[in-house]
Amino acid sequence: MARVIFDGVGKKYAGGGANAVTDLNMEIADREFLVLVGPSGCGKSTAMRMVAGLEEITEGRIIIGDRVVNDLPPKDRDVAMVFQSYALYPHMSVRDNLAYPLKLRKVPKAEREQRVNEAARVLDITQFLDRKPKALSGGQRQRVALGRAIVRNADVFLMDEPLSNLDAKLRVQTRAELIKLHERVQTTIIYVTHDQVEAMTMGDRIAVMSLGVLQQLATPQELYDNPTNKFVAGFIGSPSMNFLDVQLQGSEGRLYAVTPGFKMRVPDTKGRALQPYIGQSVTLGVRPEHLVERSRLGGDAPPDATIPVTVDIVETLGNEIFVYLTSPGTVLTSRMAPDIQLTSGQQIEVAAEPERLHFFDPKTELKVA
Amino acid sequence: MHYQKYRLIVPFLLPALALYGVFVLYPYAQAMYLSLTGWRGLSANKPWVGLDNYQRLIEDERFREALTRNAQLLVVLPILTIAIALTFAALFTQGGQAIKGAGFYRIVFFFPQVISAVIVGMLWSYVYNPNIGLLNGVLDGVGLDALQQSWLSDRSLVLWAIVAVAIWSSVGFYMVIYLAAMQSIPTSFYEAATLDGASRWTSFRDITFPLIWETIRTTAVYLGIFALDFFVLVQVMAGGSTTTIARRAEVAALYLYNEAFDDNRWGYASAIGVALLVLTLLLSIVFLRLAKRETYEY
Repeated sequence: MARVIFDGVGKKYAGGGANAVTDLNMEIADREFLVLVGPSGCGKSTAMRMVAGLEEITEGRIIIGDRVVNDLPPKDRDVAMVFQSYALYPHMSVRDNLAYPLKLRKVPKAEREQRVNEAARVLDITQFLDRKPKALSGGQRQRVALGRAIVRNADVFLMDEPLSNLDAKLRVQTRAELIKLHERVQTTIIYVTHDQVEAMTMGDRIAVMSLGVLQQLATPQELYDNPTNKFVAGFIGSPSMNFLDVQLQGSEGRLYAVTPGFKMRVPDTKGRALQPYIGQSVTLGVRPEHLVERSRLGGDAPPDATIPVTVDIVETLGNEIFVYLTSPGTVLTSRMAPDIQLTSGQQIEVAAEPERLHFFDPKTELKVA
Repeated sequence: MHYQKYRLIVPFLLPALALYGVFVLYPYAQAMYLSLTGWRGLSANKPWVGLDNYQRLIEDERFREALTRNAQLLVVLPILTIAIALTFAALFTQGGQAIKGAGFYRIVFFFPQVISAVIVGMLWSYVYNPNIGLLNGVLDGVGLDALQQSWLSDRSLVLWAIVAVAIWSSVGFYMVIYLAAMQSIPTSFYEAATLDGASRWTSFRDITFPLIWETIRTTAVYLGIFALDFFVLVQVMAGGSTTTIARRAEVAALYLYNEAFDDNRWGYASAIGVALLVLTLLLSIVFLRLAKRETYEY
């Protein structure tokens, strides 16, 4: 039963330099699975470690449940953490690793054993209980690390890139197991990762951070459909969104996005928000999967709403193809169905649904339409 | 294939092996041979006496007393040195990381180690001087003059006064070794332990200590060897074989020295040397075996 609230939280390291975290405000609901995602150095781990009490909070407050925990020592915060390196004590058996937090909390031996066995059963590690961590595979160690959090019955689980030491296949599998586990243990989880696929697949909501600042806090779909700025737009989605610098021109009541290579009509739905930018440059963003060959666009794209391009490279992935397209001054990536026959050097026209076009202010990088 | 490999390796090893042979193995062999003679040190005549020297050694009361002192040192010296060095090392690290200023303390504590043992001994002889010494002076100054002693001329104190100096001079060295071992333990273990509810002491007991056990074991053997030798400080601070007080600090190695250089009984002294060698080897092996634990990788 615990929500976690960041209230104007900031972190400045003693060495000086920029803030690791700046004015972080968010509320994580009880039993929510929140993913903190961002490139390395964005402050996501620092934010999480402040919840754990492993880093001091320079400014603001962190509230767990109903308690302000700023001055509470880590052990009294009722949080459990899974470390990237798992941090399993190498000299203790799996059983002792799991029982250690309970032992320190003076849980009676019988209950200790019962809780350890229960956690081991949930995670399917019962047969390894008497082994030392070094005799376990990466995936098994990872489960023991999870087990050490589970036995605690903590209100909040913190997970610091727990899957990054696993190989690709195991990572996908464990991802699903973690989601199931969350349904089962019903605790608040704060999960840090730099992998946007992990973030998108696991999070109830995702907090995207960059340079210590929260960029957007939203559901995965919302982040994908409606990124608030260019950073979020580029960070979420793979391959990442195409960005083009275009000049906005108005003529005969219509708006056109102009580059040296093409002149594309801007959908009318975007027109109003873009009025102030007429005569100026804006950043046009479109996801590779939304950039399709003209004939495949549902409905009829107006002839002047397309972008003429030359096919440069076609990468076949089996279920889809990545097509790299060039237009004078720009390179675009498109993700298309594999049945389309394209060859290098071919001239085609591509277009996107109006609502799939994003326009960003080139200076503030905020989305304007 | 193997043969060819060794043909290449052997010439490279030869110079080092030759030096080792001449300066280490040969003297050992020579000492073993001498221990079977009644050589007096100066004459070319080395009368063969077989195992007589060893026979005498077993019955020699003075040797037994000296060895008893070594045995006391063997218990006291490693335990105290390790305990103090570990305490300091633990105080200078927190969560696997050195605290601020640890570098400074490390250097200061290491100072005695770079001073030659003879100088350390002389220095402390002055400190312990009952009339002009710093120690009694300080005791007097703080009103503890009741505790003033003639440190090095008190039969029951002399050996322990020297032991204190030995600990003083070696604690820094062992502290540096433990610091390095502690700093190689990943920080995340301590962070995990902190979240698990461990205090600084429980972290030390449950994580640091078991994980640096291998280092402690090795240093314990060093200290054990040091305790079985312990020649220099005793020679410098309580040397001279004749006085009864000096006798109270006579360790086996000093007895060896006195037999050889004062009484010219080189054959007998060699037998003492060989006995010490065998004893040291045996104790080291037994201890290393008994204290063996699994090694941990992290």
